[in-house]
Amino acid sequence: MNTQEFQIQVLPVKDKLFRLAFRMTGSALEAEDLVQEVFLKVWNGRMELESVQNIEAWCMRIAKNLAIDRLRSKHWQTRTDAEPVLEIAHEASPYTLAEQHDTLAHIRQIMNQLPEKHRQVMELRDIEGLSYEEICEVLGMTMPQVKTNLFRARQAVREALLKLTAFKN
Amino acid sequence: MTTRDIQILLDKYFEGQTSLEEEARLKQYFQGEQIDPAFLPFQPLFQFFESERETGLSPSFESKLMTRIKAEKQARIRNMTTYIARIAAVAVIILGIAIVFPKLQRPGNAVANINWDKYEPQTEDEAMAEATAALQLLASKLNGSTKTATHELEQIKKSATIFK
Amino acid sequence: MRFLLFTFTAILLAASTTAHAQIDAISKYFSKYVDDERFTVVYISPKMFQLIDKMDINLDDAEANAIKDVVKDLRGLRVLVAEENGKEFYKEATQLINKKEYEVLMTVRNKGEESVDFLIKDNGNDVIDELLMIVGGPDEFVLMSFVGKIDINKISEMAKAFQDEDDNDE
Repeated sequence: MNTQEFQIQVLPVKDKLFRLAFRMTGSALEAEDLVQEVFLKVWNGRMELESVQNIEAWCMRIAKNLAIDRLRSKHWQTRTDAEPVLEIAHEASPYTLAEQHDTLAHIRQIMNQLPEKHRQVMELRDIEGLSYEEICEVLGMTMPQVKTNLFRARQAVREALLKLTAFKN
Repeated sequence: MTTRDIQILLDKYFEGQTSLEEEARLKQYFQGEQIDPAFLPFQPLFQFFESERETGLSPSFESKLMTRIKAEKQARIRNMTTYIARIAAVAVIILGIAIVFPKLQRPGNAVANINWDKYEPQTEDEAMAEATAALQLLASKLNGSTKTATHELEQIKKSATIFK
Repeated sequence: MRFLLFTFTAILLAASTTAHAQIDAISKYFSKYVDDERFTVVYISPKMFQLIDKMDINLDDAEANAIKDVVKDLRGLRVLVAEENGKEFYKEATQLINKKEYEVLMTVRNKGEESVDFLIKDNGNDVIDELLMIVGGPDEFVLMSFVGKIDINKISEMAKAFQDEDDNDE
């Protein structure tokens, strides 16, 4: 694989990788750095790419694993950074959220309150448009696990949305 | 798409039963202007998905990455060439020594190496027999011509001792 | 650092192999004929002469004793024999010999049929380093090199012993 083929076949996944990394690390800078690391890894191991069926899912899996590694090594840091956000999420009542008229921010908060696996599956499906098979590959889950997680995530989101509307009205 | 169709799709969606294509239709519907009030609570969700998809890397990312990849590629080639150059240099040194050393030791005597071992008898008995044969041949040639041969040998030996 | 070490080792290796390569004159002449199928080649190494020296041989006749006396001082023997084209090989061999390195001890010509040359390489006393014999006859060519502490006295004694036996036989 030469640089041109790399640009055509691999690079288009860059924004998906960035969003995945951003959602996991919570930092755009860190996410960009991580995506670069993923691509350098893929480039240096490009011989393996021949045997990879789904380059996009493969890259996303590498990104996810790298993000986990980084989160582990920076465990303390991330936790202290993330804490204020979590506090807001917990303290804010559905009513005050509705008052902010920032509907997209509400959804984000609803999503953030989901268990991690539920949220990840739903994000990969509804934002990134991945097939079930691809989600299995990226998250290292079985098909039933993916389906159950997605079902629970959507059910929880539906309830939260209905609650939000009830408060609004 | 009728309201009923949307209702069916939405129910399927929250059950986790929709296909990617059906989900795309839902997203499309909620991007539109005319949304049935009954579905308004769900509009922000699909708008959220759309807006999330808009976030991405800065346009300069790709060129930065490609510059770095090309730089790494060249660095690797450089490393490889210096490595090859080193090996070549050592090879030249060894060759040089191999050629020059014998010439220094014995000017003008570059000689092919002979593997003498393959002409050697296997046992000392055979070797002794060969040596004896060789010496007998030597002696017969020394004697063989005339007695003068032995005589001359004696003479030269004597003169050699005088010069000492 | 590793590179330097490697180079140094390489130099040592190259130097030691060339130092071991024994490039004596006889090798030079033999190298021309050694793989020629018309030639018979015999070689006895210094190690083999050491083994011969340790051999327990009971010798009562003068000839055998003379031989043993010579053999114990030998370090190497190389013989090259061809049974055809003798005169050509002889001519070639004598031309190849470096006259500065070897001293002609004796040249014998038998009725124009056979030529025998004895050459020596010495260190200035009557113990010679190498004795070279070249024989060129109509159907015979011999190139023989004796290397070692060769004592001309012993050689002549040996030659005499052979002659005496020949005389006795007659």
